[in-house]
Amino acid sequence: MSTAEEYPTNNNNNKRRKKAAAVSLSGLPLPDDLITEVLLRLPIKSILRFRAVRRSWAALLSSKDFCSLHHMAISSKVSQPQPPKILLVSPTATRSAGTTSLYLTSPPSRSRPREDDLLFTLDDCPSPRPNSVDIVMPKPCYGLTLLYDAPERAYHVCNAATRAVTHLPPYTGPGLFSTAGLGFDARTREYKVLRLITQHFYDKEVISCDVYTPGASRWRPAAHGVPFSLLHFATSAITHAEMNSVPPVFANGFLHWLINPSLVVRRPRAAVLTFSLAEETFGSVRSPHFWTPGVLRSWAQSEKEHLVELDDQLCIVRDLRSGIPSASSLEIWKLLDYGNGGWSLSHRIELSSRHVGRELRDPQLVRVIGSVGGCGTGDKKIVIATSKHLYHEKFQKKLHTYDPRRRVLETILWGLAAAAQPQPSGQWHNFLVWLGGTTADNNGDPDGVVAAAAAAEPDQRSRGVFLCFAAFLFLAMMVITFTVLILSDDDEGRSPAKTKAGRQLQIAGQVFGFFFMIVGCFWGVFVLGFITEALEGNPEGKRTIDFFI
Amino acid sequence: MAAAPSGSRTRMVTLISKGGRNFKMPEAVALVSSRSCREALDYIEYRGNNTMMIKLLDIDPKPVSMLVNFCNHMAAAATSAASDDAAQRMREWEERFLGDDVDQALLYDLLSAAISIQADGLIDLVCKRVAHMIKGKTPQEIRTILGIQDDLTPDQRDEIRTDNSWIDI
Repeated sequence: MSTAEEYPTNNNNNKRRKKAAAVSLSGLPLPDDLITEVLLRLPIKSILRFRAVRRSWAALLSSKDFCSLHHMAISSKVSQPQPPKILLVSPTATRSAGTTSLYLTSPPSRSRPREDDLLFTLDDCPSPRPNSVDIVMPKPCYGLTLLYDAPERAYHVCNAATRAVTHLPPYTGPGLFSTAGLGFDARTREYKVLRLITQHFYDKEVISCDVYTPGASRWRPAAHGVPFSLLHFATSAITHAEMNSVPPVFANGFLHWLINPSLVVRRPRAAVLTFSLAEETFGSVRSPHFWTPGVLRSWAQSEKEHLVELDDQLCIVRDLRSGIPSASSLEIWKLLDYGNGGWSLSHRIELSSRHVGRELRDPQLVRVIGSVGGCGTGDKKIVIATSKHLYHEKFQKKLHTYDPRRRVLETILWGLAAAAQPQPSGQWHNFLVWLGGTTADNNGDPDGVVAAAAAAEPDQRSRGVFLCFAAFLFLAMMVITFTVLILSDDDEGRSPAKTKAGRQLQIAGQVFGFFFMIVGCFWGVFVLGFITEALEGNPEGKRTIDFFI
Repeated sequence: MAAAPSGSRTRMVTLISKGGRNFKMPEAVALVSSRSCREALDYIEYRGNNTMMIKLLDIDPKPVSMLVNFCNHMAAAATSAASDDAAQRMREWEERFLGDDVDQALLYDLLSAAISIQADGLIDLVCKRVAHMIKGKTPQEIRTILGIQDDLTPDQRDEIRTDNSWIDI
């Protein structure tokens, strides 16, 4: 399907267009079933404008169904690839403090985006520090971008195509570290933002998980909280995300956070914390083999890994750069299977060649943020952002595309100055979003959902097993109690114990019996409590159950 | 697949328009463009006169003949090799096909006929043409072209106008 822009044109176009306008002023109504087909082929600006034609069009053009169909129509347009665009958050030196400007530019370009590239300024999120708004995830999720204002602890969602900005309700409670991810639930066809905040609650680490859907007035708790078995992984992931700016990645209907193993005391069996947007449950992915178990990895080493989504697959990028050029490389490992956590090497970018090496060895921070191209529009290229070039321009940020087949690196954005004040070491600020060219339509991977369900099941199953076991124990106790009581009871006139030892045994038996009965009663109440909490689905109760498992 | 007929004549697809006019095309031609012909082949059997009849009784003969014309051209183009030349020639043909003498009523009828036999290529072409006619116009002009009454309240109109304030009209 193609849109109105590709309607065959030639030199006579203008003449014909005028003629067509003259002929078509007959005022014939378009049949209803044809309206959708025609409107799907219009560009976005026309769609936004035509909402003002009549009420039924306003409803149709704003509906979710139409938006998904139109998105598919645009992304299947292979014949005329759109040039990739970059959404930039740029320091607003000329504007007053408290505003942040976003620009939409097309590479290749030098920094200092032109004024007519200005998308909008976030004027109504005042903050004492200017330029405090950062982009959270470098790849947009179905056209929406999540922005974060750290000092104000407020999130905003912006749509680069329609220039609409939604301000999410800010967080006012106490909290240590927070992170959030934006994803798209293909089943209900709505966007969801998940926010994780760690808090200390009576000397216990508590993670609050809240979900926001556009249109809601406030955040609501996620359907399932973090299971106890993943609690310390989640804390590590949240801290890693905030302190080292390792943002979550959305792929296959899941949000993924990378766990920082140096913050975890136990052996890191899991590398990635996952959150299913459809089910709103947490899961984990096993760590790759190069995460040697049992060896605490140093902080500096754990900084050198991050997640990225390439071709709808989750990948870990390893930064294996060293002083020796021939031994430096960037490795990209992709996840093959959510269930058994198999990772395989997908690309290795050797940094030994002169040009590639110079651009990628020099900067302090290198992040792979996505890929572009692939089927139909040319070779697939990997997009890499770098920051803090040490030897050349200090504090500069650059954007490159790397062609893995021809091993060629092309710098498409450079000269971008970082914020005025020098950042603490290791700080990476996501300054751009790669909007890409043609994007494959990703309706969520059903296998991913199945795999996550399989991962979540053991928790449910083991909870059930535990409850059965508890009930059994209760019954066993009752049986023992009554047996002992009956055996030691001689009030009904059975042969009384003749010897002193016998009598002592009797008393002992009765004491035991009563003791067991009391313990059994308490245990019974306990078990009943567990069962009702499990039936109600109370997350606190489930955590208590998990504690026993 | 349909049962093979005993005779060796080519199978035909007949479209019947308003007024009982018949338009025939070989089955192979119809299969290229029409999705319903492709799907129907799994279910129908050819009997006797070797032809599949499709009734389009509320559509005038002219759009139906244009439809058959389109299918014939598509089938011929499908056999020739794809090249930039061929693409250019196709674009020129499409322009002549929906030329100056095609008015709005004919366009809609053609679209209805295309939808009846699910000729996706023609649906796409006509929709593109209509979209091209209305793209870039103001809402009032659209209403005039399509004969629509304005039923928005002033509040709704203002809301949309502020949302769209960044669009250069």
